[in-house]
Amino acid sequence: MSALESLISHSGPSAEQQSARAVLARMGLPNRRLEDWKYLSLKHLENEALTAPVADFDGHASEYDIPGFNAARLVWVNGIFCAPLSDQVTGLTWSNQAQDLDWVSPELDGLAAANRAGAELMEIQVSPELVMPVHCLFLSIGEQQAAQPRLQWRVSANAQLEVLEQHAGPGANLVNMVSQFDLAADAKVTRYKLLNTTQATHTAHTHARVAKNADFQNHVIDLGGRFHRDQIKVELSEAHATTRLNGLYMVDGRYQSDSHTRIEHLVPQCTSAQHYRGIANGRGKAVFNGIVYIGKNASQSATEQKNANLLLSNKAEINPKPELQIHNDDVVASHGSTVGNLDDDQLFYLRQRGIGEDEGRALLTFAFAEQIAQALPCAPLAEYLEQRIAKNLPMDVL
Amino acid sequence: MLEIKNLHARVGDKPILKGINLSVGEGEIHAIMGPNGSGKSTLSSVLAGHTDYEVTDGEVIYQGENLLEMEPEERARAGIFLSFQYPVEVPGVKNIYLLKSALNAKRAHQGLDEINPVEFLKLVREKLALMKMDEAFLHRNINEGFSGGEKKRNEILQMQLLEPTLGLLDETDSGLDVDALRIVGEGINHLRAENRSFVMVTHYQRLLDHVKPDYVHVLAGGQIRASGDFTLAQRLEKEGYEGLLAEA
Repeated sequence: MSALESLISHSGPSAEQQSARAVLARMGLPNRRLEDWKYLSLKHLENEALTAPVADFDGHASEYDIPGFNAARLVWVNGIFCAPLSDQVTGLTWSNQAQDLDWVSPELDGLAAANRAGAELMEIQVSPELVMPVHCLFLSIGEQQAAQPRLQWRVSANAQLEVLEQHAGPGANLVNMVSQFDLAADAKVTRYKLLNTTQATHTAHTHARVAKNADFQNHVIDLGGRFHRDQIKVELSEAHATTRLNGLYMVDGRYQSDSHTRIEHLVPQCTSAQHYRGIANGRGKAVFNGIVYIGKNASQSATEQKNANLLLSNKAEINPKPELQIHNDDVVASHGSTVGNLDDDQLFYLRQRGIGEDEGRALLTFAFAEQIAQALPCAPLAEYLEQRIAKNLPMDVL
Repeated sequence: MLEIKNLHARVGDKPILKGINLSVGEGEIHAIMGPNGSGKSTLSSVLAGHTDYEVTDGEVIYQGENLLEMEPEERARAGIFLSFQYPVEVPGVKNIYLLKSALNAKRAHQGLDEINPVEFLKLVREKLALMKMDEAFLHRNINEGFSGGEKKRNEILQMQLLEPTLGLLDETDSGLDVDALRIVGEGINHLRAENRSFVMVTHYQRLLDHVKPDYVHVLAGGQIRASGDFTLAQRLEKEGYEGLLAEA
């Protein structure tokens, strides 16, 4: 049995789920013939049967805490929400009875269809009473289970949400996630997504819609794993909506990381910014595809996109593809993408101060990634990330 | 301390140094002056071991050892410090990290333990005060967003901390206003010692008004064309390179 057949068989009974199941059966899982899947594929799932998930966890969720990040913890095990392991907190309410926003259409690709067909929706409402950060822990435990969390965040007017979405655990599962963020006027969301699973195949669709004066910030950190794909779309749908998408991907060994972003400026006077950095070593492969779409009516838009890549091995591969699609003249837009090696002048400077060549290389690699850590508006997370980046290097640079 | 004999070096296919001979004794300050493109900066880069330059002939003996066989970091640990003409920006690495790593690399070379953090901070503060620099500067990324003057002061601060045996100062006066020049000059003078030598590369005389050299050499076309004491720099100021070289 293939992963596709397994996913089809896991479909739920509702009319919408059955219709998504039909879409999945028709389209199959994405393959390299699709433009969006040109470089990295899910071929390894072809002969991998997946079982329905079981929420079996006898450890302590606190093992995965980030030191200094004091937050209300919500826990999912293999995609299944575990209320007994989760905290109740003022300003946050969840329900499994909500109407699906359906912003991530099953027609988008086979993974979106599989999630719609098999997942149970959880809606989380955030009110202005929420003052505590939230730590959503997604544990992947066991072998070849199909974990399909589906979240819908409703962030009400003036509410502020700071959420860490952490994927962790040793499981070799498929984690196929869908997240929808609905930001009402003047809401603010800061989301940190930390990909810390090495064995799981992780695929995710995120769709955010940002209303008037609202701000959506997304920082995705991919520390490297078998297959990680993060696809995000942000719609700036009312005036003065803003978004920032930052990302860091680090691949070594045979790890693969695939980042796809799409920001849509649909109305005048919205602002967006993006900064993704990647490091590929060994036989690692990474993709960055960043699209900024500025619609006909979106005058006085401002957008900035930066993507920098460090290629540390001649067997590693990075495919950057920045794309600006601008249909309005009254726009301030900039973008730049680079792929390169470490800077010889910087290395010589450090060596002239007595720092050895290997340590100098490690330090410059750290420095390259550090720029994304420094931009995290959360000191404990920035510190954690610095330590993790340093750990991946051949020597101690902290 | 430093013996340069018949040194030839090129960048790519282009020969730049064409037979340099220079002897620097302990405690001496040598100024290398010369018109643009004469090879002044190449000389200091070659001595520091910059990988862009290829030495094609000649030898350099530093404290009895063949300098040209040493890696750049080995030269640094053995006491050679280059103050860069264009100090490099290194975003993502804090100044304090560089200062500490550099100092500890040198201490390890001397068989000493790592400096303890309290002692280190005390030492750095002392040097910062001398260079009239704010402590906040320690936590900024190396040279990132620094003005030209701040970058040069940062170079001398590092030199203060590392206390080299041989300081190579490459156009340290360029890009400095009068006040910064004075501070940088004082920073260098503060380090003058019987067992410490300097080679200062400069186009103009103005740094020499603050740091008085024992010897002045005029470099042109990749060779030293004239040598003398401080009065040579004064003649250069009056006659210009063309006039002086025509006589020589």
